Amino acid sequence: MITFLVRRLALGLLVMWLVTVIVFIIFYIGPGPADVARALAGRDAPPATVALIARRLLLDRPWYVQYGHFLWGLVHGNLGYDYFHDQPVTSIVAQGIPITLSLIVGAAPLWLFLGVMSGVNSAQRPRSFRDRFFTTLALFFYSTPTFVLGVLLILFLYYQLTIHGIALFPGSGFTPLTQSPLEWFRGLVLPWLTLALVTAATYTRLTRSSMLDVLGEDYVRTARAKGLSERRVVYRHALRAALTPIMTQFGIDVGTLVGGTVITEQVFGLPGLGWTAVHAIQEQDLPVIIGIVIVASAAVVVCNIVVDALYALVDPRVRLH
Amino acid sequence: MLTPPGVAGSRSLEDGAAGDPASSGAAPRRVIQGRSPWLLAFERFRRDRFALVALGVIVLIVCAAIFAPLIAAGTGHGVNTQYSTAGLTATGLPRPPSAVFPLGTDDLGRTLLVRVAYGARVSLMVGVLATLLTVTIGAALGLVAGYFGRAVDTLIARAVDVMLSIPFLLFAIALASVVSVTPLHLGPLTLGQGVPIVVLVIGIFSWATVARVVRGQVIAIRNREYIEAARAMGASSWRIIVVDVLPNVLPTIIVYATLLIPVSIVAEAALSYLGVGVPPPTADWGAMIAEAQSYYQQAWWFLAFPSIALLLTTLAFNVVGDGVRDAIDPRATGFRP
Repeated sequence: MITFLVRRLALGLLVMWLVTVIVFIIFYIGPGPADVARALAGRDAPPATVALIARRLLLDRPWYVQYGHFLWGLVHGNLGYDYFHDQPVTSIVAQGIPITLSLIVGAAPLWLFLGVMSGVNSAQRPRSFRDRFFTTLALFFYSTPTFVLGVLLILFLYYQLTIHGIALFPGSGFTPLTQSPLEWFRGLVLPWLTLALVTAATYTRLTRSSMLDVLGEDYVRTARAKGLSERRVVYRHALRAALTPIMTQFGIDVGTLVGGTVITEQVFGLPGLGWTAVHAIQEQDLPVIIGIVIVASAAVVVCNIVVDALYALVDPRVRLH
Repeated sequence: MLTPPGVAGSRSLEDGAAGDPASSGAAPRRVIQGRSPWLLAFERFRRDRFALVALGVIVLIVCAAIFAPLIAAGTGHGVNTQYSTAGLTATGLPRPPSAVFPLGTDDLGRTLLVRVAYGARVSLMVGVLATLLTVTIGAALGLVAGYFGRAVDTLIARAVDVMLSIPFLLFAIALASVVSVTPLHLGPLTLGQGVPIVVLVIGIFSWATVARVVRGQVIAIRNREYIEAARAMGASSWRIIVVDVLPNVLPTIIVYATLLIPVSIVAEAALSYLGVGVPPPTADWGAMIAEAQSYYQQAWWFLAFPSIALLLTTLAFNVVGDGVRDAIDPRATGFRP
């Protein structure tokens, strides 16, 4: 088990290192150091100012010096400073994380519940009306782009309700949990719903196929033969075995969403990590973009390791590979 | 007999034995005719009414894209022509649907119908090209990794791990925005903001799943007897990969490709929605939805029609993709790229 974890951690570190290399290549050969300095200095700045900025940001040094400096900072938990306000990137990231996490923490149980329940219900009676209803619904939400669903929810559940005097949800914005738990909740219901419905569709399909496999197993027949109630057979015996692929997918999705709630945050004006990244990109604020990309990649790597470790804990055969 | 070209050759040994008597005129005796897996798949697909309807929808959307200039000519309005007096209300808001503007106008007084039709061009083009690129890179690397194994495999498998850890959308918007400021020079090609870079970005970030699946399948068949036989006859590795291995993983690749088209279309629309995709004034559904979001309280049509077009397209492609998957591999249910 320990060797397995060590190997998995080493692999994770390798992946993270490669991510920094790719990030660096994109931004080094992308805008190019000279452009960055000139953009920062402003249109009419004298060449001396441009040179000074370039020197201060190490932009005039060869790429390996810049990369070394960047990696050194990263290892020490320093992601650099943003180009425009000289704020540490770590604090900018730290401001966004609670919002993105609020989004995931609320949406994850919702999509897990919706997806698994509809999947189980579908699998219990394949080809029945109920099955067709849920699979069609899943196909619909699977095909719906996040921003289309988000905008539709704003249109109907915010705007139409509000003009008819039922102001249940605000249209956008974020209230911290510590400031007012109720406002925090109200402001996040629509984003949660958007994220959960779009994601749940995958889980409906996954649960359905996984349950169909398991419900055909001998031990399920045995459980039925013992005279257990159908509910107990389905939820206690079958679902437990069918959950493994679902938990894997769940771990991957939670990790990916740290950097993947960009659209939801943009639609609802929530200043989380994704929203911050989009704004940094519009301003060409490279350190902020790089910082967020690295934090988001780290989330994926960590979640993958956790999923693998849980897997290894449950199924000893995994450790051998 | 309806068999896709290229596959017929590798199958002819088994199927050809049943003969090809259909062409020999009026033969009264019943002849059992061999049916290739492709023909069986095609017949299964033909019985899937849901998928056929969706295919009809796709044909309509493709027609709208191809004949967009005709639609423009029919209304007499260009894609980018702004009707600042006829197309906008006195307060400068979009006009609702009418006889002159069938689906209403947008925030600049342009004809929405024409723009939605032109938007189909970008979506379909990116959807198909990005999928082709993704599948080509993914299949090539998957074949090479699976067949050669050892160091090559390790290298490609690590690359797949890295690609799957990268937050796609963040990277894609970062790359697309970098390129929009400083165009990328690839030899004689210069890539600025627009369709080519969107295709490239989607392709670069989506090949990993395809590579992983293809690799797994190749590993499962690379030690089969017929491959060993080919090797014993002195066939080169590349010949074996192309002639003996590729046809066996082709069904999987085709299923993935059909299911990747809607994913690519949504990715393109998302990039344009975030303002780093296809630059204005090109008509694009994602960009139109982004613009319409500011006017949803006054002009529902501006938001509704591009959204419906995008939703209908992805839905139709997903239904067809499911149909193709069920037809090619009837036992597989619910698997997704």
